[in-house]
Amino acid sequence: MALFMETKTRTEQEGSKSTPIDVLLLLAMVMLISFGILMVYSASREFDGSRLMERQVIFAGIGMALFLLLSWMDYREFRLFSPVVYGVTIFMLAIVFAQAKVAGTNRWLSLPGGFNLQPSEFAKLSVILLLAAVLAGTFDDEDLTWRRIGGALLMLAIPGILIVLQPDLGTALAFGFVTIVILFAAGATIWQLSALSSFAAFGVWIIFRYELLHDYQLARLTSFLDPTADSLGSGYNVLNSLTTIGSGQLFGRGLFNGALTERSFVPEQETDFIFTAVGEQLGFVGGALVILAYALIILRLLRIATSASDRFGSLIAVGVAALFVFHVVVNVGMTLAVMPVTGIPLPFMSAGGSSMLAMCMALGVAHSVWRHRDLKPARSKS
Amino acid sequence: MRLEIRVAALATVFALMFGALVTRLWVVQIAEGPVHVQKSQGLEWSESQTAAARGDIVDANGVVLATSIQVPGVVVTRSQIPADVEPTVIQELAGVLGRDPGEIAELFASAGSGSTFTVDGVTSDVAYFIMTHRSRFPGVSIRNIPERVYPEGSFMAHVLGHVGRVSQDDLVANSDLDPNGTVGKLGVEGKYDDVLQGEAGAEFYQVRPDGTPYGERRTVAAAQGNTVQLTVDVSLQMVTETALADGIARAKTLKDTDPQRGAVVVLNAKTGEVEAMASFPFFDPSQFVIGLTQTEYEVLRDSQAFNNLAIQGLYPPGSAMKAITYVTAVEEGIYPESANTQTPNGSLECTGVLTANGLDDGSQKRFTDPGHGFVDLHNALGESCNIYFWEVALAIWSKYQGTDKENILQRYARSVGLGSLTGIDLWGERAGRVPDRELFEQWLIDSPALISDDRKNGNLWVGGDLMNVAIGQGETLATPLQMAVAYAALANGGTVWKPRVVDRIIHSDGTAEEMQSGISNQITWSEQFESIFREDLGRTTNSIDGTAYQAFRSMSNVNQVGGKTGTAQRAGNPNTAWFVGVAPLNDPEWVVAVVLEDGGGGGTSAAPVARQIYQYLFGEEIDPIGAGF
Repeated sequence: MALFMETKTRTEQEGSKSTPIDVLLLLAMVMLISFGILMVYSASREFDGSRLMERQVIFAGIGMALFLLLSWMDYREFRLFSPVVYGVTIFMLAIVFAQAKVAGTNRWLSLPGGFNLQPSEFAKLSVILLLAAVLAGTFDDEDLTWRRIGGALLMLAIPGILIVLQPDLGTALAFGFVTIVILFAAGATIWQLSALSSFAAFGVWIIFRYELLHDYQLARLTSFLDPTADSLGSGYNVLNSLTTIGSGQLFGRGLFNGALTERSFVPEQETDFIFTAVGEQLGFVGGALVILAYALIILRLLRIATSASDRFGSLIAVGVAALFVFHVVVNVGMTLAVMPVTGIPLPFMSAGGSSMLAMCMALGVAHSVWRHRDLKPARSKS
Repeated sequence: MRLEIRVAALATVFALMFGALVTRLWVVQIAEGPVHVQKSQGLEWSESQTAAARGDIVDANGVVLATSIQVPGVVVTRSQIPADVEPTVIQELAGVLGRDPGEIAELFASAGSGSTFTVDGVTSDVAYFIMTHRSRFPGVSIRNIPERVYPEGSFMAHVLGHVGRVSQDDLVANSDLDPNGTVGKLGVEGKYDDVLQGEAGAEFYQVRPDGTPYGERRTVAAAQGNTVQLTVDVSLQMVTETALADGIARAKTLKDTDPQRGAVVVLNAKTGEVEAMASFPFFDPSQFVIGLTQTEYEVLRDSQAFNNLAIQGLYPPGSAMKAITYVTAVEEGIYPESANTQTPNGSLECTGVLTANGLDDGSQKRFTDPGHGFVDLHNALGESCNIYFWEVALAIWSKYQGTDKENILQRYARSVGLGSLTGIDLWGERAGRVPDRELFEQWLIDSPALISDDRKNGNLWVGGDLMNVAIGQGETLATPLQMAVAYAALANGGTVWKPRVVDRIIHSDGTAEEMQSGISNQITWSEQFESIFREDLGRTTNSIDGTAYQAFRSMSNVNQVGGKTGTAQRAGNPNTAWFVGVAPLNDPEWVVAVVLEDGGGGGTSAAPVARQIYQYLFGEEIDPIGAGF
């Protein structure tokens, strides 16, 4: 428990800028990114040479730069920019509909230079910032009123609807999970949470009652329950994924020695199913190490939450932690056939620029909270 | 503290989720790991079998009688076809092959998922179309597939046999067979199938989940089957088949005949090797490769074209049996009681009527052809005198009836191979029958309908029955090959061969496995028998009163050829014509057994066929069948 509780022993100095960086957080992040580059290379070199890996290195570089930039900024300024962030997010989410569909969805925004931006990845960070801003209130000791909860949810509605329309079920679920966690951290009462849960349950019932989900979405959601039911359909990835990871056993077959990874046995093994490359080549030891690195990041984020100088900072840290938990548990769980296949990338490891940049930025913002934890006395009561 | 507690609660929940994740990882990789390893090994390499070419069948001099050529074939590898495009591939294939899509779908279904199979009936145009439109036919490739070819057509079909699709029964008998391949049926193709079948090759390749081949490809070449070299000589076989067909054609022109079927065996008396074997009607084994219609099949089946009558045709041997009675008489010293001396030279007067008690029809008299006058054992054989051999049977009967020597004649018959399989290396051989009291007793139990009421009430087995055995009538049945084996044993000093049609098996590395003829019985004949038997066989063809004198009259080397005719009576049918020849008489090598079912007299119908074969064997010009009559 003591790990998360920051007792204010330090002298709280106004304007101190010399707070050291969070070494453990940075270490875990760099380790996962490097590891990810290696895994992307091993999973794509047979059909793509080093092209994907090189792109991943470039994105990692940009990501690290954004991380450092945001870390050095004062996170409280983000609160001032909230309306701008909100506007830009909605604009980007809306503009994808003007583009041609890719693989049946409007998820990507084509940029000059052949890059495809996925606004929904960045929207997750925007949503965390906005929720934190709205729910933090003016004073840190303010109670969480229905009014503020209602305001936060209303604000969430527009990006939420746009995400569902894309359609991007995974991101929508991520929104839901992050919102509930932030609400809880922000001090929502049991009554408030129960009421919201009932409301959400009603919403889910409506969705199923009026068949608002696409068939493929339903199939993906349920296939993990019995992947063998449809071995060449939506369960196909999951079955192959299980075989690939399982064949790694304790120590794996060795780096660049994964017979199934080499022949792209699992579709999308360089992106959403990158964990299969880890599992086959590095075994349980490698897989557990990766999960442990994520656990370390999440632990540090929760620590940041408890040491933040204000509730806005705490909620940002909790939100980012929730985002990582959701991505890791759903992504790894999906490759292990205990979570639905929803297209959620593994942070820092799945090939893809948007996820890499968005996750680096999220950690950067949270790190800024850490670096500015001593800026001023935040809480009137302890 | 409120925030810290809430964060601690979140940390606990998150920790539980991560713990569950690591536990699940442990289960998949450690607990279930071995299962996944096994499964992954099966997935790394896909296999596609390539058919092996069947080994050649060649004649004694290396002339190719059956071989395999490469023809284009459509090979479907289901493991390379993504499931969702399979219906499209079936449609495309049906279209290009001009076949019903349902039929093609049935082929897919029966081959099983992930299997590799071949679609027949592909022209080179179709093959070219598929090769140039590969994207429309994922998992479909054109390969050269070995196909069985019989360059000589229907020639020697009964010895060669044929190949056909592997049936369920074949698979039960031999689980190593490729269910989509071919298997030898009948003849040498059937009997030596395991030698002729090559080792199937295989292509191992890696495929991506979408079915496209990828990465390394390993090929294990198919090994062609071994070559089987026959003892049969193509030239002699040609002469034999022609003589048989001509003999049947000519016999049709005679009175009281209706020959539809016949068979000839040329057996080497010194080695037990079959030098020629023919059965009429013929069939073309290639028809099984291209496929017979139901009607075509039924016509062939009803004419017994698929039967190799040389080993499957059972006929009463008639007078050809008298050689057995002859050897019994000489070896046992039993001669007709009415003969003036109890030696081979003792003669009796044949009037064409025999008077005796205990005949099978209950009468006291039996009639036969016009009398031969005074006959001894020698000219009784050459002139085929029924009275003389009947009297030998009656002498045996009066001397031994009721004792353990009662069936001494049958024992001699069995000792030279009658009544049991010769053991030739071909399928479907039949054993024939040498009747005696025991057989009738058996019938009384098993099939009483075969036994007449008189016998049931009176004597079951009488002297008249033995008389029938002595001249190859009654219930006696034998195949042409059995008669050839028996005569070979009588002429070669007593070796009863297990005949064979395969000389050796030649492996792909050039080494050969020589086959040896088995011996089913070894007898030593008495000097007396050796000194007179072959000479007496010569009377049939050389004596002016001999039963085959006319048939052999035109042959220059007739003095070296002997034999015995047979004209077997079958109730309600024309007579069955037999001739079993032995030559050269001083050192017998070639035994020729001829049978023409419903062909009439042995001397007039069967002997000319044998004579043509002997003329060929002695290097003479072959006279027409009708010559001499």
